[in-house]
Amino acid sequence: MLDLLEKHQGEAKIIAGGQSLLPIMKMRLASPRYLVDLRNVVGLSYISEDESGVRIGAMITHHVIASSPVITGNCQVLSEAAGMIGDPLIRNRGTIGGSLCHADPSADYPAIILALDGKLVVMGKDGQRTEEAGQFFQDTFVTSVKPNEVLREVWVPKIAADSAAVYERLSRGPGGFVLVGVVAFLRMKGQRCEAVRVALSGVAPTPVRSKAAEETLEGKTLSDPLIQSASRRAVEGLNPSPVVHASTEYQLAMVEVIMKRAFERCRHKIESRR
Amino acid sequence: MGAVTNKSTYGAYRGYGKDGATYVIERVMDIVARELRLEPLEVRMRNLISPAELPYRTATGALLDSGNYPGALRKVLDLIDIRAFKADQKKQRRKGRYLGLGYALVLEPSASHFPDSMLMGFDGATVRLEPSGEVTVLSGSTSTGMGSRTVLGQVVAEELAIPFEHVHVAQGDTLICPYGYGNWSSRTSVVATNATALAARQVKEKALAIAGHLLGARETDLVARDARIYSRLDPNRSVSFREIASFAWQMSHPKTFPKGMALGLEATQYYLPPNLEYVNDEKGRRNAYAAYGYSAQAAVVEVDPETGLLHILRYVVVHDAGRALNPTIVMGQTHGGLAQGIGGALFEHNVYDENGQPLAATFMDYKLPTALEIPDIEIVNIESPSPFLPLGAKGVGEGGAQGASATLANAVEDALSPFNFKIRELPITPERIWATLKGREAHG
Repeated sequence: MLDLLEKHQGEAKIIAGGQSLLPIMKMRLASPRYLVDLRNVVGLSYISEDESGVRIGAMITHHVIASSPVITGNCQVLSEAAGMIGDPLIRNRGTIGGSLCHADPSADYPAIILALDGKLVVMGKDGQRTEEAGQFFQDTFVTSVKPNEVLREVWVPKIAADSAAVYERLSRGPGGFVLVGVVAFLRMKGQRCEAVRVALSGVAPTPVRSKAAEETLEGKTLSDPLIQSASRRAVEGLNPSPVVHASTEYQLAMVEVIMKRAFERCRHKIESRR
Repeated sequence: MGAVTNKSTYGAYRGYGKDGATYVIERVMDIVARELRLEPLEVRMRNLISPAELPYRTATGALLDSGNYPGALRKVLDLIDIRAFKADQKKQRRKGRYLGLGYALVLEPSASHFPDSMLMGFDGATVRLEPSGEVTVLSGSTSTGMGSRTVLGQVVAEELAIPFEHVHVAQGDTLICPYGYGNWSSRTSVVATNATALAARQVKEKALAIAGHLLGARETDLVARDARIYSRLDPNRSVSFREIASFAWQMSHPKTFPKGMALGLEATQYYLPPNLEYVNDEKGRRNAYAAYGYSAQAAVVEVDPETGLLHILRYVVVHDAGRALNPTIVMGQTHGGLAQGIGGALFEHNVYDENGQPLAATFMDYKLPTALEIPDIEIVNIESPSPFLPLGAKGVGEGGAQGASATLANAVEDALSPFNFKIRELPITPERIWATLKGREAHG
């Protein structure tokens, strides 16, 4: 398979579930001369655990991610997000690898990988390399994967009992395009926020961390006013382009609303376990 | 004074201006109610024409035929259970959830008539009982997929008492079909069906006369059933439509064939509803529609004031299209119209930038609702047949498209009444709701 990619560099596209590629081809936005079909390639469909995380092969579908006990049990936020993608037909065919490599700014997975410090393994003829989300996602529809390479797996950490991660999103209608998405990760000791990570989707060409929100919360005692303040600061430095359904102003206002809800849900998740 | 624009204008489509008129009337009802601190229901009850007053001539000349407007409105609010809703609304508000109820009474005029134009009010039909005993129907109507061929077949099958499978309908073939005006203004069930039924009745009359000859019986003692004509006095004596057709087309019984009777078993009728008026009165008014269906629509919505997101929790319709010739089709038309109406009220938006450049140039950006966005619509059918038309059926199909905007706008204002919220324009999008609540100008 890698030989094929090497041979037809520039003229070939990989097809996994086809749920991003086929619509683009239908709209004539891409007309690759060759399609390299991963369906029967061995070694890309697996889910396995190691001590600290879960490895997911690139060809695993959204449906499997939404329902796999290994993932729902260890990294529930990923399953949650997978279950919200498109509709059941899309979830049966679409793959995590395909979605990540497509790198749509409004997609659900990238912000989760970013917030959780997930890892992406890219394979080429000369071997493989492991990247972080910050290196992998470069621009709208652009990743670090070269034309003769393929994404092999994504690794996500297991979320411990003192932590929780939540994905909250605003879209029009179920499965509709995401306008604003927030991934919030918290580790708490008592009421104190020991660690916090926040990533946003839909507001920039790639998923972005919200350092301002993280700084506001890290090491502090969690409270409603503090969450409010962190959410308000989150819009600093953001400049989402207006789209037909949402102006920049509305999107920024929604970042604040959605982030507040994400933190509240996250906090509730941890507290209800105690 | 004229202006040139590249922007999209209003065009003839499902509703045809009745959507705009309904929106204005039904919003005025709610606005008056708010100003006078009355229930919206009360304002409507004081203004609705009662069944006893029908047929009723309006100030603009329309002759409303039959119906029970107050009854339908009460019924839809019963189905919603308005009392239980109001209690729930109060309870949910205390929890920070904003539910609202909106309703509208939607008049659905159908089958218009403009003499000496391409929008004439008549239609033609030919019904022929073939030598085989099966029936051919040639209709001047056309179909865009709403099932009119089925309904015309049903009408003839019922009139002649023969199986539906033995009726063959041809529509819109300009080479063989009689003159007609096609389908617009929801007119097929008002005009084409009656033309077809009247033609079928003429054929039946002749068939009964022939059966009378063959059975030696009086026509008043005969009844048609299952493609045969039976003697009421002796059910063992009957004759099939096939035999009647042979008599008429092939003179199968030359001895009994009456002298002077024309051969053949066929009739053509051109039907113009009698309640259509052709000439304006001195004030420029006339009744231009042959039938007036209507519906009472009610919706319960929930609005999230922080995001502006809206969910339709329930949508209930009490619909009256006179006699429902095919209840399944009536339901289908109402559902379809409502899906379009909901699209227009909440999703469809022709956006332009400051330079007049259209931004919603594909269906990616010009949003149409899918099955996921349309709630389960509850429809109850009632029937107030038209007193003017032989079959009593009225036009169906535009009511949903007409009424959804007013119903939903009323519901959203009710949901956000604690904020003294006013709807200013359609579609009602989350950003517009959010911007209005914040006192800002919305984008687009």
